[in-house]
Amino acid sequence: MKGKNTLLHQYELFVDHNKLILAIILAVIILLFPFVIGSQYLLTVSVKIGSYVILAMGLNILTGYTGLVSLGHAGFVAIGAYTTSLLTVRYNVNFFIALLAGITLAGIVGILLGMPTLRVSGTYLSIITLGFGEIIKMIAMNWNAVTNGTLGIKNIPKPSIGGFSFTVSNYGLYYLMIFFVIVVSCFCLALVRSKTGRALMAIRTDELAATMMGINVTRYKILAFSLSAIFCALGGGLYATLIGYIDPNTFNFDVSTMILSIVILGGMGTLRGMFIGAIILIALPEVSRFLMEYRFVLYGVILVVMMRFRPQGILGWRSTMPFKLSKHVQNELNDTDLIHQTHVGELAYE
Amino acid sequence: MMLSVRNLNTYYGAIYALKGIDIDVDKGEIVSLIGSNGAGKTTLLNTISGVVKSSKGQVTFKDRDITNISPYQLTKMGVGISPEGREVFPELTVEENLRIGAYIVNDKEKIRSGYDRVYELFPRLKERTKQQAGTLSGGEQQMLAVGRALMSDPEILLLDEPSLGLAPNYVTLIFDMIKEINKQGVTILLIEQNANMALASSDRAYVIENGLVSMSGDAKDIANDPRVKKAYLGLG
Repeated sequence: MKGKNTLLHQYELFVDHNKLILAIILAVIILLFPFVIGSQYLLTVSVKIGSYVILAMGLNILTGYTGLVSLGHAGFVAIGAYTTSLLTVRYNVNFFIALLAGITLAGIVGILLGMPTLRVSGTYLSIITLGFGEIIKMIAMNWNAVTNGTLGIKNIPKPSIGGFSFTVSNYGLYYLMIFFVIVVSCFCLALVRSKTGRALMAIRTDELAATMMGINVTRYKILAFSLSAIFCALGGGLYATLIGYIDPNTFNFDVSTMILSIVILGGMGTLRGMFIGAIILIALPEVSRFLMEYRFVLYGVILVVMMRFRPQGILGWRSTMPFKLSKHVQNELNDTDLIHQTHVGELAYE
Repeated sequence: MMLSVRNLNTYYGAIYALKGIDIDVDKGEIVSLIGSNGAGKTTLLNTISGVVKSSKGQVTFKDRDITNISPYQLTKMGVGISPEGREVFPELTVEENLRIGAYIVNDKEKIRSGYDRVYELFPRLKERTKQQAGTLSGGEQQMLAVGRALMSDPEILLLDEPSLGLAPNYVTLIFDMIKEINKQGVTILLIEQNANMALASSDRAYVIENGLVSMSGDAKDIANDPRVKKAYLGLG
């Protein structure tokens, strides 16, 4: 059998056999990370990675699973960040309520934008979303009365519950981010394995065939669009409170491409890929600061090399493990001698 | 009448593809549409299923007007479609493909019995439940496409070129299965270029030429018609 002795197969075998131990080790590392490291700077970068994992998970629903490429998701990030920040700064609303308002607004905007635009697909959709991202940025820049224009919003407070403030220095923000990343990951995992997830993947593969199965393609596209808008707004709100300052340029086109790059680099249509993609693309500019302005060249080289040698993304592979039949099929196979059951079986076995 | 098409006209841009077609399919029948490339067979199926909009005419299913309906609504009404060129979802497993076929079914028990029905018809698929559909052979993919259309428990099945590009033994197998499915009470509208096989397996047939029905009647009579023999069966 091909692929039996490849590195990938051995790795999968190893992971499969030591699942529990590896999970525990990983959990311990993640939970104890702040105490071992202690550096404010590294923690800030980690929290930033967390927020980008959420953004990538959001775009992944749309691009990875439904097959629609958006170049304007920075617009949804901006909606989440601005709504959350404005409500907390101006009206002293609790951060979590403001965040909820932000993601709700983004969800609604997602539906409103999706309804007319999702009838087009491919490149045309990408161009429309690109325009959307720019429009949101322009609104943030010019609607001075609300967004404070190019001066941006300063002193965005850290989230707090009952007097406890989640900051980077008391590790609160780190654990809060982990909490949100876990919530989003679990949601995505459940989504992918649900009827809705299957419908989205069917649409990605073949819209016409999906329609023939009774799937309302437009409705599901809008749903995917709206869900991804919601997660991007969530990531945006968390990002704003981490950095403490936002202005229209925080949400320029680079952010959209950054999210898309994470999704592609990590592996479209996988959840694990979002983590590795975010870690590499967010941490890389930080760890390679000694390269000065050349670090973005390195960044570009990595992307180009990736596309040449691993276009499916770093973690974008299908399991090489031998497939297992579902329990009830296995039982029946044991009970009956399928091969001679019907003449069809015989013919198929020739 | 289960499915009836009256004076159906369809344009592809400036091309006049269907020029007023009348077709009837009765409950429990196997009806085949034969004709050469470009005659309008697939256009007819696409117009019935609403993928292409008609400019004139009417399609009714069980006395309900379904002209220019959205394709996804059709499945809910009990019409199963297996599109041309198989169109299985290659990245998904066999089981996932079937599960998507049962998309409109919410009853778990019914989905389970749908699996059993398909696996009984096509035991080959049963051993490949967890295999990606794209890695199946052409014949197996065709089985999967038919099985997937059966998962929604349709009253009528529209099959577009089920024998396209298959090895001869698979062609026989697929036609046997179509007859078997028909015995289970599913009405079948079959579109085929393989006129020999199609006429041998159907009750009635329509010959389509240049967007018009040029001949219709009992499948046996059509198979014996000298013009059909010459043009489609390679005899005479």
